[in-house]
Amino acid sequence: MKHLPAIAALYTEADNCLDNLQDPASGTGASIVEQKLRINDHAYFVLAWGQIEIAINDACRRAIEKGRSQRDWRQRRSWSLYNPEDRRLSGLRFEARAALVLDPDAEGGEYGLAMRHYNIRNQIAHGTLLTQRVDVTAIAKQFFVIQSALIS
Amino acid sequence: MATVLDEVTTMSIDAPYVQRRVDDWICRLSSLYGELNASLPDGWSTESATVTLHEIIMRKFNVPPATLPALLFAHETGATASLEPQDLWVLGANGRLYLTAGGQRYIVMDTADSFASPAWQVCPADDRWNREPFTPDWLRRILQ
Repeated sequence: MKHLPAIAALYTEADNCLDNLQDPASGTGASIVEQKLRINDHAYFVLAWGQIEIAINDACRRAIEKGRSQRDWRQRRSWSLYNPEDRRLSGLRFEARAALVLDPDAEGGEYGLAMRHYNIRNQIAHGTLLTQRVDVTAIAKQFFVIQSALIS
Repeated sequence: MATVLDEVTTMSIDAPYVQRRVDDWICRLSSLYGELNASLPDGWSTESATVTLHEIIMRKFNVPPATLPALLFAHETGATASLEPQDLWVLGANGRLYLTAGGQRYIVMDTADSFASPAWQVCPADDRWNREPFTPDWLRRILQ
């Protein structure tokens, strides 16, 4: 997550610059600027998402390493199915990676929050432009909450 | 209670729901302006204004444009400020407004879930990590 504050700061600059282009007297112009603002939101959302995804992957990798280092084979055997050196963590889907390091039943609901953001990330990354704006700074704060709930 | 994030990812919404969100936004704005109006610093007065809300999601569900209240502040010395609703459907907030005062722009946002009691927060537009509660006291401090 080390780049997240820089991403959020750059987002703020870009958002403010675009927002200054709004011309309240021109409905058409305003709507073009609104679309630019929305696209800008989505671009930075995906950049920010990359930071929490890396944090989840790293936590997952540490959990696998810890599990594989158990002395007791009965504790170790299930973890040995996964290779922490593999970039894709032996093909573990994101849902499974998240579930390994975020308690789905935890009161804070961080697992659900991560999955909902993953859904948004997929929509944008696969070509859907959402109708909603994204407050990237507010979302970055939520990513830090998710990060603090990660358990390796 | 849901958030815009839930609306986009797990909920099925329809025109009456969208209309209800718009109506709720108008109620929250009116109530906020009432609170701010009740404790203006000396020398300041307000005047009502309006802005039109017709976000993409409203158009998608054929919900007609809505007229939202805005607030213009004027000081007897000629200084002015304004508070205008900006976006309702935004991931990460339950609606945002722009406050312009003293040559600085601020973003005011409701951080509560949809249809919950508002939890207003404010930050300078160029320093968005620095959020604090948006209260009549905060506004008095900025206007003075």
